[in-house]
Amino acid sequence: MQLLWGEEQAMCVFDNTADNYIFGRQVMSSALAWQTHGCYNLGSSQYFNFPLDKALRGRKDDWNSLDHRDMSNAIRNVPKAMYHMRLAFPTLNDGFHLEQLSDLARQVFLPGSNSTPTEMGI
Amino acid sequence: METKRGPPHQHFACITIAMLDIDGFRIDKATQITLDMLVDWSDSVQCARKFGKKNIFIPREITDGDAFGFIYLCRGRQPNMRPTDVKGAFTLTSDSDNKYFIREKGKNALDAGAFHYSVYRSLTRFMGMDGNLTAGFDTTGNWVDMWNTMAVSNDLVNVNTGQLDPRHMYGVTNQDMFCWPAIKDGEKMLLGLLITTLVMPGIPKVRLQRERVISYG
Repeated sequence: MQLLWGEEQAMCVFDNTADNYIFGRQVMSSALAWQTHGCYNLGSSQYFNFPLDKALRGRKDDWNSLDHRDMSNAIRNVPKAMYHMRLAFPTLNDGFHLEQLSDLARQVFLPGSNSTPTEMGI
Repeated sequence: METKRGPPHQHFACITIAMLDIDGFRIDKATQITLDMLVDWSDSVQCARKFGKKNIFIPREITDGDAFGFIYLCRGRQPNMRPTDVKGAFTLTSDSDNKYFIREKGKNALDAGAFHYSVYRSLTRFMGMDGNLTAGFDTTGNWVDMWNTMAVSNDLVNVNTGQLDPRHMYGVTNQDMFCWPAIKDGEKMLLGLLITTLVMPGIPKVRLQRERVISYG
């Protein structure tokens, strides 16, 4: 699995300038500009009803201008635990046979998906 | 300008390895590069062996559907070259019959997806995103279906070891995609990470982006 820098810190400021190419490349180090320009209002032409939330209010959150090398971040602990599982159980690390044991999923149809189903469940 | 030792761009890779002690290259926009040139370049990177690097890694950015990406992967495979089933695919080595590969032994283009876009696109739908989310000729179905498709359609034999070695890298976001904590119920990112870390066979990786000069542990 692949982790982007800041992903483990739950970063949430967008800096894209086109509504069909949305990304956030917030810095790890302390930088006021990321808070100052932290309110995203371009929306999205890529996703239907894009459920923007924290990205709309980045300017109001002082956390955004702080240093983000926080070893105690709760999100960070989860991938760390999963990496440990990969080390402890060789199957998770090196296995390549993947088999479906049961299927409790159901299909729903979202309004913007032009009859492509979305699988929900396990 | 060609020299006896090959085109200059092939030297640059070796100089970079010698100077910076790197263990691999991530190729940006890889499927927009001419295939033959890429194969020759990847071959030239074998100069890494001079520096004790026997398993240098060349992942790439493949944003297209699976059905285009697989000609770039390792020795390449066309739809009519697929093993009949997953079991057959898992027995392949670099010494297997040439009928499973486009290119001859040792002619590797790229080792793995640096961020598996087909899996990512499917993840966005799984995690509730709405819209036209797939690429043309993409892998379909759930995680198990996707893996079992890839296992047959992709050449996953490591050019350095000759053994089956699936090394696709999976993630829930990258520098070109939105970050989940920015949207409503963004904590579901952790569910995605569970899929990419513990379900899909491949590589765990923490990436430090070249676009930002940051260092952290």
